[in-house]
Amino acid sequence: MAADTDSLPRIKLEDLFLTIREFEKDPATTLERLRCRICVNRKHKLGGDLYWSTARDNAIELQRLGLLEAGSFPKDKKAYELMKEKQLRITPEGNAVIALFRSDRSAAYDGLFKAMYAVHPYLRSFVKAVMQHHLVAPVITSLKDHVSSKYASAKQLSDDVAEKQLDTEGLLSLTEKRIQRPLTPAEVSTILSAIRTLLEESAYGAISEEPIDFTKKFLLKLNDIVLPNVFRSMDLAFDYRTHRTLWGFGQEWKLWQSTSAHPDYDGRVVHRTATIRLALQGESVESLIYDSGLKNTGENFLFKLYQAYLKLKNTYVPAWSLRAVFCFDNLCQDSVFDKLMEEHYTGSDEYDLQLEIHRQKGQHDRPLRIGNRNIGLVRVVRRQL
Amino acid sequence: MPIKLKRGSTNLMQDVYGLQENPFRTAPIYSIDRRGTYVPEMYGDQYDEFYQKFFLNPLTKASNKQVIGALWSTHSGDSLGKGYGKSMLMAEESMQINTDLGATKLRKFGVEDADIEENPFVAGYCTFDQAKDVKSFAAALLDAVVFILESSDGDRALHLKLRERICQRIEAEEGFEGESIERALSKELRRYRGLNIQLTHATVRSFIERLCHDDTEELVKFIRHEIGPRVKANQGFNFVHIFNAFLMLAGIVYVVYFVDQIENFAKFARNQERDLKILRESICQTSPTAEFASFVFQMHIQALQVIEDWWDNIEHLPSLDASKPINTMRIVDLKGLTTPKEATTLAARYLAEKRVLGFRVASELHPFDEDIVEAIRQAVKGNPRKFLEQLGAILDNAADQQRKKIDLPFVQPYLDDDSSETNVLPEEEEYTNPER
Repeated sequence: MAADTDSLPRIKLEDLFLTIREFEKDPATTLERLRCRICVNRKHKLGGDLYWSTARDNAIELQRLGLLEAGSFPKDKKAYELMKEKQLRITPEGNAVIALFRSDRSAAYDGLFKAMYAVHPYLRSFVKAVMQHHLVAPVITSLKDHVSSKYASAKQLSDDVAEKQLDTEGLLSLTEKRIQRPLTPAEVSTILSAIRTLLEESAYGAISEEPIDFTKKFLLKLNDIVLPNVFRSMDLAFDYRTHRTLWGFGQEWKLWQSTSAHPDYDGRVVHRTATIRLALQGESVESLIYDSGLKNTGENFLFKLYQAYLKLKNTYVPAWSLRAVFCFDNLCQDSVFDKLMEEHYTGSDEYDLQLEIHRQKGQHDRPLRIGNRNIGLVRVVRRQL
Repeated sequence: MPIKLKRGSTNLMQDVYGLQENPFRTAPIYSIDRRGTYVPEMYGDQYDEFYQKFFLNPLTKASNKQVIGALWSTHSGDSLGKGYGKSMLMAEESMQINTDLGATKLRKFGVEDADIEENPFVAGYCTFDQAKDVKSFAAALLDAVVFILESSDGDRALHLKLRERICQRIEAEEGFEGESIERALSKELRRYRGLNIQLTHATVRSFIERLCHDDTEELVKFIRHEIGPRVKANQGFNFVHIFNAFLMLAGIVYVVYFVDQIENFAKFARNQERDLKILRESICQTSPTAEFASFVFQMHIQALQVIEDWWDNIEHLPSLDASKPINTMRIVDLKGLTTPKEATTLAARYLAEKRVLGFRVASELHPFDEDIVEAIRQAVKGNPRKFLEQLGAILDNAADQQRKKIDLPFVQPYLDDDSSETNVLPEEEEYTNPER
């Protein structure tokens, strides 16, 4: 069990810097001005209360880190209207972060990681786990492939749930296959118990809601049952959204990353991309070592790429699968791979790269882009010298 | 007859503002069927640039007149670049050109009468329109052909005028003009060895027959309704080539095709790769089109993002990127209302169209004044569509609130409201974590 409860903000780390820099002009500002700043940054209209909760969540986190002082924050939109002009004041520590960000952005991100590590127990648990071994999260996104082959349509699922039924055997067996280990009796028991409660709560919704809408919500709730339970032994028994938030943070910090494109894993694989040295029995961070950054990973890049390509055992391989295998093997970020591909796509005397442009949209959330093109398929050929 | 509402004794719009109704539409988006008021002065210097780059420069050349260019609006005040009047400029100018084969326009730019006589030209406008099933370049350009054929000088369709010119030029046999033109056209088409048109194909034959005869309505009906979508997609360019040969036979020396909503092609076209190959071959490699016809595409930043992958990278079509200096001579970038004069002229022209007959006003901007118009121009950062929308909304609100005098304090809250619709560009500042 996680030792403490925690509330990780569902924010983007760059928004924290964006928000705090609003205090550069004036040591005191308001939530409303923070909100407007976010709207402008995202190219959205300032009118109404768009991003009010984003502004609030960022301000709450900054206060938690001791970078600003504000007191209480609004819980809902109505309260926001009353509190939006309330003054927020930057602290000396906050000013130091702004100065550091201006002089060295990388150092500011590192500092932010250390500060958040100190105040967020979930983050600490996660870091300890991911530094030891990669994680495989059996995120449920497909009814048929991840819940049970019995459910070919949303209607079949909602019919079952309406009768407080679910093919739990199918779900458990698919989950075991996906995490590549058997579930322990304790895990099985807590999952089944949580599913029973979920079915009690969801039966009415299964009758009254559109099957597709209902299924989407139901899958999210199943994720909140399965993920905490399969990760409980690693002290990561928190909900799916928290896991997702942590995966996103890692990519922003360049410390770990997640991918669903690795062909050997039917789920999301999370692996470290740097070394985090901990101190004081894991209570604080001693140093961050980016040992698989651009420079290290770039050495002999085409050879490493060829090794990853061979693992996919096909002539033309999907660019995102190749990237996932490469990043997993070399413990690097997608962004590092993308940059190196951009540099090396013309090949060398030893290796020839053949790229096929990917024209359809939406197949992958982070397409590999080289020049102005999305790359769909890649072939790496070792020339006979 | 529109309904009348009981609102006390005064009908503000008519009695005080001197307007039959609000002249500004809620969403002034151009379409050929709903053209609206055209005010070329609003384009400022870009109007002359439009003629210089797309018409005058090409007409100075004896051969190889082709321009593959773009009409842009990259204006930084509106990152999307919509609402700058690109469609209207393309379509309205094409219509005006076609009334006298460009003579008035050339005269306006100081071209001598003898040169005008020797250099008649035409222009067509088309748009990718999912609703009308215009989803391929060939189908779109065929629409532009119809646009040209139907253009009128107020008396008769351009089709008939072109036909008459051909009859004179080939000395067509009286009573058998259609047949004479058909013979001359077939001969003209056979001159081009690269033009692989099967003249015996039933649809092609019917098209030529109708093009050469004098029933414009029947010809247009045939193109619109009888050439099926598959034939349009597969053979559409052949009809365009035939039409271009027809224009040449009529002594037309140059034609410009304006193509609107190009991003819809990327969104809707099923066989993009094939379509683009055909487009490149047809417009860049096939005579007479390749020397004699220009193609100008409407562009804004979203459209560029949608097409950039396939346009110059895959099919090696000439780049339409406005940010590349090398493309300057093929690109016109509309800047919107850059001066107070452009804004007042635009507003005044709209107001004049709906002015109550005999109503005396101190200023042609009544019930607005120059300060209000300028405040609105600044608030909308010169975007003509937003400018017109704002004027309309303010006028409606003033009438609703029975406001006899529209002044700046009344207008200001509406402008504040607009300024909240941020047009600010994304911050230059980079917030992401640099790569290690």
